[in-house]
Amino acid sequence: MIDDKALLSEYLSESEELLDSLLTDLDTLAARPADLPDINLINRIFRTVHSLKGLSGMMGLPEVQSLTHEFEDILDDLRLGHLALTDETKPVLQEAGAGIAALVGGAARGTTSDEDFERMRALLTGIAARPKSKSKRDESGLEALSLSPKERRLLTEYEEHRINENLDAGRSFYAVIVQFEVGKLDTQYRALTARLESKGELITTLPESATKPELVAFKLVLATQFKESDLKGVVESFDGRITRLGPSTWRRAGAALINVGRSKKKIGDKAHKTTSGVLPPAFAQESLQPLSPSVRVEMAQIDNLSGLAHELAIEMQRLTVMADRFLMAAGLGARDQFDLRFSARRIEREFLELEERLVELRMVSLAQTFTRAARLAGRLARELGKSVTVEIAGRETQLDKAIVDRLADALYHLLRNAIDHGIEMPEARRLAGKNARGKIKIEASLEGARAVIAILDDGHGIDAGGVLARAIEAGLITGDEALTEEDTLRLLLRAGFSTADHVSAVSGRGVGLDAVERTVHELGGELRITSEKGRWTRFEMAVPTTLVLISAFIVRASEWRYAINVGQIVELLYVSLDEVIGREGKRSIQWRNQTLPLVELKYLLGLGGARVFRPPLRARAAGYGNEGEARQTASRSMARVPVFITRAADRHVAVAVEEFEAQREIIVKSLGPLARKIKGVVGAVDLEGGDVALVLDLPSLLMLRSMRM
Amino acid sequence: MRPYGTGRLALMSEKKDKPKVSPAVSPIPLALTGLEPVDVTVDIVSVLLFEIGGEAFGIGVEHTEGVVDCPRITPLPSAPDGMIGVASVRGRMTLVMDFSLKANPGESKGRLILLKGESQLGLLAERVAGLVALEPEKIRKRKGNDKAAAPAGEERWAAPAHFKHEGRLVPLLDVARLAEI
Repeated sequence: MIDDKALLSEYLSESEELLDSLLTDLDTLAARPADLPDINLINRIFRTVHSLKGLSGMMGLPEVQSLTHEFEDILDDLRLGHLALTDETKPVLQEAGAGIAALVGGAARGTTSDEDFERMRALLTGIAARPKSKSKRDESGLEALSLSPKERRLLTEYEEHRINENLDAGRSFYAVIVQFEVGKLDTQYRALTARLESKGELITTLPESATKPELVAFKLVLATQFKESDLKGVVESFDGRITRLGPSTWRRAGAALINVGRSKKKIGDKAHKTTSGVLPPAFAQESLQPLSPSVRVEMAQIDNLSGLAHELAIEMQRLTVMADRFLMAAGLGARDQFDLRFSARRIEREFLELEERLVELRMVSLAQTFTRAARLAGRLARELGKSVTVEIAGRETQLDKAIVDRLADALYHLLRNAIDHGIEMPEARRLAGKNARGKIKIEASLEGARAVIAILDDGHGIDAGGVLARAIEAGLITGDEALTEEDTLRLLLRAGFSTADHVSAVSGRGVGLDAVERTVHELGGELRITSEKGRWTRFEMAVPTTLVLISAFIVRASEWRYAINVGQIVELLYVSLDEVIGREGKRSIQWRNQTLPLVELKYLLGLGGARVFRPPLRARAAGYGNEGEARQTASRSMARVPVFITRAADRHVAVAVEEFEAQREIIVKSLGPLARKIKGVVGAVDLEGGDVALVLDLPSLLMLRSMRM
Repeated sequence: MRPYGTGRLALMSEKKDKPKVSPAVSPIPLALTGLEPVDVTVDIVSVLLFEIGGEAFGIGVEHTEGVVDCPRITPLPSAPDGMIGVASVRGRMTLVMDFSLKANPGESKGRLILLKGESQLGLLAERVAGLVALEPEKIRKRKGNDKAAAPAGEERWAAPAHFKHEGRLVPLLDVARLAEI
């Protein structure tokens, strides 16, 4: 049983998708004639059950895991032809699928009894114990294909079985030989197999010798009903060649005859009874009930909603201000005044809460990421000839999905680092008096508004002295600095720094930690390192739990850069100074047959109140001073001012800036709890070169200014 | 790679054995305010001394998280007095407070004292003079009628107390009040 509610709902919603596709596929399988099974379908069912097994194991549901394991075995037998798919087995498989679906939900909630599991197990054992209709065939079928003994040895049991099945079905076999450049291998191979799979069944891919060293060659074995001439077009578009592998025509004819006989024999078996009554009645009733009460929503939809809620909140603020103003004028009674104020404030508060709730919707737990990380750690250790135990803590910690996604690479990097550079080889550990098996701990915890994700290894730690020596040698520091231990360890984060004496396949040289730090920084977090030489190393990524990612337009106004949510920009245009109507303070432009007030962003921000137009940067490039002034006058009529149109309340406003820079996706970082006191700014974003751009909230900025005027 | 990180002082090393006092109640250990007895013995208070605009200020070391070279400060529109802008320190947006009256964002080449906690505040300093160990009785809490004796900065800034250091009165900043600005 899963106690953690968030984890439970995540497990259920993921299982539900798998179960849905499992049950649909089992139904499709049952609907097909028994002697023409769709091998791709069986493979997909096999994979789905396999995923379910993994998921249940991950969630600590051993009973479900063992049942899905048994089901997987049955499907494997089916795949390999050890078990025949008959009209008798099909409904039992369907029933087994439905039973597992019922058990998954019940087990997760802890409402399933041991009996339910036993009944299910009996059902599965029943299928598995059915007479194996086809014993393993002799290899005579394979002989019919012109494959070398070496190639034949490379075939797996499953591939052999598929060759035999296709031979029985009277299909022809072809070898498609292609060679690809190493760089394009991936995409071309995928494109070719996709085309071939639409023509028949791809049995296997065998190695071939290439004609040039920079090429990689393959022999793909295809079973198909098509003729060679039908396939030529596909193969030639990949510069490949195709040859017939057999079998000869008389064999195919014979096989076809055998098949006819077999299907005739089967007709008599059709009257059978399904093994009903295996599942407890409660399951049958529950079968229409969805497993999880959750729905899956695209992140973009949540973002849209957040945007809307934000606009509503701002509009509401405006209404509150107006309500206050009318209260003064209307001469209402004290009671009415109170009521109006009270509800205006309440709505305002509720809109704010709505925005906060929407942010919560984006939160996911670290469970999945951590489980993957643990699996990965085990694999990396094996590759390096080390052995580790991985401990996980705090998997229920919740973070914004975008943060979890971005951290995945950084986490992978730190793990790789810990196993490759931290944990010693078993022999070295024994000599150091440690358990030969290393320990990696991945844990998450909350620290205020931040989540701390830590990776701890009990390896040989970091030698601060060595780091210092290496840093001086690399010219990163002079050696005169008084560095604390932490400062010294932070030197590891400098680009290109590495204390590894060797380069392994797992961790490259010198790349990595600086990239990890950059990722963490971009998220508004901090990377910390602590270590004790000879004993342990701990890397901590402290990141905010929530973040706001927006598409913003970067503009420049009086030497500073600002980010504006593109959602608040109606249009970008360049206005020549001649098109500006009116004098300072009351400027306007014509736009879509309307006269719009034109204000300078600089003015809105209260940076230098003078609203004297300066020609844009290009004209000023010569610099200030007399010469520049002269140029300004000369270029005045030619100069064009970058202007964007925004909407404030019910009207459009033109805002002049000095320069348009670019549109980009930015992570809006919070200015902390004090930010509430700073109006018109929703946060800030890190730009290149250590610069910070404020993320402006134009509607409130305009409102603020118009109220002051 | 940005230059910060290397210049950090090891300010926090002794903090662990200090009594824990909730900043919401009082940022200065209760023992210093004389309000009520506290069952821990605080013999010495460590105060970080810094200078800006020709004046000296002090802040309890336990409220600081470190000192860094101040990155470029971006000015904030309509910010409260004293808050001159935002600087990005280790990926965290820090609101920079400047106690000198001639605040000039963007041009600062000073240091930034990072405050602990969630306020994301940093205090701009032209010079961090170092740590001063004070006996609690050396710290004078400001009283209503004691304004004459208070140093100039004390009234202006969130400083409920002051101490004498090298012949001048230095206001001791109250972190909780700073966060209320």
